[in-house]
Amino acid sequence: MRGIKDRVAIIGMGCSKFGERWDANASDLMIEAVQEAYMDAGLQTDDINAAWVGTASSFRTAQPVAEALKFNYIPITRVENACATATEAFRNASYAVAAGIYDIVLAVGVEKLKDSGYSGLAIPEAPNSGVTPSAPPPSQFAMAATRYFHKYGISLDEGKNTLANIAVKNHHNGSLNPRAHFQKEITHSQAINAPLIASPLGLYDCCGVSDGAAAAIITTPEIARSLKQDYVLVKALGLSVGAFGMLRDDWDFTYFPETVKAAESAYAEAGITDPKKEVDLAMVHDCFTITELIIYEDLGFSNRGQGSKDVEDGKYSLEGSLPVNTDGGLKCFGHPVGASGIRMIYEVYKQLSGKAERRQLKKANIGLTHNLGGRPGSFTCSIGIFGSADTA
Amino acid sequence: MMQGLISYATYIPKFRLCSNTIGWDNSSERATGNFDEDPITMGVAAGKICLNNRDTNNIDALFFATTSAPYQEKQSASIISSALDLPEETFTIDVTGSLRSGSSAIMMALDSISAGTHQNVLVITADMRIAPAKSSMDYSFGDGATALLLGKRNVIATEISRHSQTSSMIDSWRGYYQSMVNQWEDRFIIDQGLQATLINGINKCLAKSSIAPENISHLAMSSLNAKSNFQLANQLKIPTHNMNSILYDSVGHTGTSMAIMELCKSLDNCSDPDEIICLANYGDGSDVILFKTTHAIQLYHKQSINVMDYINSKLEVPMYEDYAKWKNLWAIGDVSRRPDASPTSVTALHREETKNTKLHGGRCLGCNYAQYPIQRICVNCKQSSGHSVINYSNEGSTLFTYSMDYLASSTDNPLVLATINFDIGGRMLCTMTDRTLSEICIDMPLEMTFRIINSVNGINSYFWKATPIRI
Repeated sequence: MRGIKDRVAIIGMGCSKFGERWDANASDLMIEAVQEAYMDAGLQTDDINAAWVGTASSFRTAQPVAEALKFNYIPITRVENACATATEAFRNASYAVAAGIYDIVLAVGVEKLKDSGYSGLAIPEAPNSGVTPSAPPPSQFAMAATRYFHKYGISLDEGKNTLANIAVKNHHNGSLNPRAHFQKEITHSQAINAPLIASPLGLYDCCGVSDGAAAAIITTPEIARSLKQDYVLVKALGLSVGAFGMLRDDWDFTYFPETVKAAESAYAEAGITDPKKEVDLAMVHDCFTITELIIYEDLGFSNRGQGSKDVEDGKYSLEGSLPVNTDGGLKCFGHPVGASGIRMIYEVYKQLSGKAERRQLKKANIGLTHNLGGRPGSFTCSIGIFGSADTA
Repeated sequence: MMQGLISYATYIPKFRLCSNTIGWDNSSERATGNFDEDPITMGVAAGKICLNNRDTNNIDALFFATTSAPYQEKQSASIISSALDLPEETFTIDVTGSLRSGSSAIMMALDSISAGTHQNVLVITADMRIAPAKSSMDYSFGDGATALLLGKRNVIATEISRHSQTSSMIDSWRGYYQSMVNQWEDRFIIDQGLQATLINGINKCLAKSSIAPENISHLAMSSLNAKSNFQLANQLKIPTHNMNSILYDSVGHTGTSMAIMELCKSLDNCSDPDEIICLANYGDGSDVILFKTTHAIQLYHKQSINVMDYINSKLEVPMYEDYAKWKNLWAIGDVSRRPDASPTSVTALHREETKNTKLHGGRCLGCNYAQYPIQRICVNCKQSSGHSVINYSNEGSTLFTYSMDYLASSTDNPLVLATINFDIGGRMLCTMTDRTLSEICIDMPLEMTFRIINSVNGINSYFWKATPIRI
């Protein structure tokens, strides 16, 4: 297997303002993100050979993309893979370039959630028997928190303390990001004392439900070099799909096998043997604070059961040895389902090319994105590893 | 062998309207089904206790008696039959329209067994009657179910005599478009109903069997209330030393189930053979059946759950407002503006009957791994070696992990989502019901209970929930 390492490059990216975009529909959001990506790459609509669009529920076909962006009858594919949808669009677009089919392609993720009139996540369901237990995402992930605390002998207060630390960190990072949905710092006690959503998770343990879009223009490293200096190379794209957590009674909720497997394959593809040292920053799928805690361990950033201590030590803050969710994460940047994966790549791209403004890290050569769709026991996990142009 | 009772059970829902219920404004105590219960789910619960892990393959008929079926058109008995995993060939029927339906169903079942049409018949009764808020009926009605297994083998009580009579008198009624029960003046009911048909019926039944009233050791009667039960017994010269008012005091008048609950309570107190029990039921006339206990009653009690066990196992309804929500008497606003539930696909509901209604899982014939629901390809060995069926509705489990969701539901707040591991292997995601929040913890033992999960467009979707082991 040759893998994807250094075979494709990102030459332009864009990201809409995330949030409650009462002013914008899905097309408006896509246009906002894609026009920024064109500007960044110095390209135009007709330079794009093919496009992939990821959306979970905003539209069902690719035609709205052609209509919004006025593409001239090029191939466009709509993909969907739950909350990992955008990374899936990016992955398929990358493979098409690596296969030599196209020279320059667009991957765009978009979601318009705030037209539902509902503050939670409203995803339409296929006709069904109606017996599936009502289990919104907070209650699903809260089950992981309950079991994690139990396994490591963490009291409810201690556990909520750790989760609050993660929320405070991500709110701080979000406060430095003008495109984030939430740009306010919160205090530790605000997080601890927030109303419960699904015990043990409170309001600040849950990410925002937002509108937004993000886009990437992908090409070969050769073409990238001809266009700009500060392109970013794709080092790995790992994907793992699992569905056995509820069929087997021996999985314990304190790790997500899909993340572990996707990370294994991505690290192997990128040639990373010690992620703690070799990865400079990561954008991970913090749909809930407990998810971020478990991800630290699944990605090998923290040893098993040590996530809480590493958070307390500040390892994952902007000043830490492995900053995580420098852009505020899903928690504060927001989570328009079909856009989030490419939003993560957007921040890594900005950091690796030295354009992350107030959030810019001193050392940013290898960045990782981790995008998780589904629920504990049944996930699609998509991991991307990216390197600055000088890592080839 | 004479036909008679093989097994019996009472199900009393866990919640009680009582003096601690804010807004109840009454000293009475009444059993009320939780928001996810109805006569079908209560009937399944009673049936489960009655069957007590017996082989269901030799049950050939199910009579379900109720006046408060969830469907006007669509049989309830068929759903109960499926949830109890009775054979497809089971004859099912709803007996309805009268508070006497339960005893009439028993009579028809005994006839069917006597005629040789059926060998073993399950008679289930359940009622959940709604009355205008804080009316005397509201303060006296209770919810509950019973189940009797009738047949000829290993009977604990045989039928020795019976009498039925009919009356067209309207004393309590519920019109086609009415959701609540109406009742005429009680003095009229006592004079023209109880005296004219119940007293008369009992006297005629005794005369038929040449049994003297003083030889009746237990009178299992349903009338207006406990007071009228005692008055009628005294008038009939039937000994009252085995009678008490506990069901009226702690559960309420359970409609179709009332007389049969009294019968179950009487059987609980029968320890000897040859005791005479008089089942006397009132409604559109009267049904009277005399039963005599057999030697089998002594062994039976070693393995059965008593009515008192269910009376004593209870939780208080915090506020009358909760009760009003549970019974859909109070339209509930949804703070979170949750989208409406999607309409139920009856196609999917039908296709998934073994998974949803019967709660069948499978054990792989190749590697022995237990899994729910049944998988065509084993999750463990990845082979298609076939499976043996596990009926998980009878299996115990422990709580592996859980959460309490404060936004997911407005009637069951917080909604307790549970991942449970069955003792015999296998896992299931479900919600937990009839729970006390402070008692929920990892590894707590649980049992399964059949409940309404969803109700859209008149279609109830039934499924199983976990509940702390009750008794």
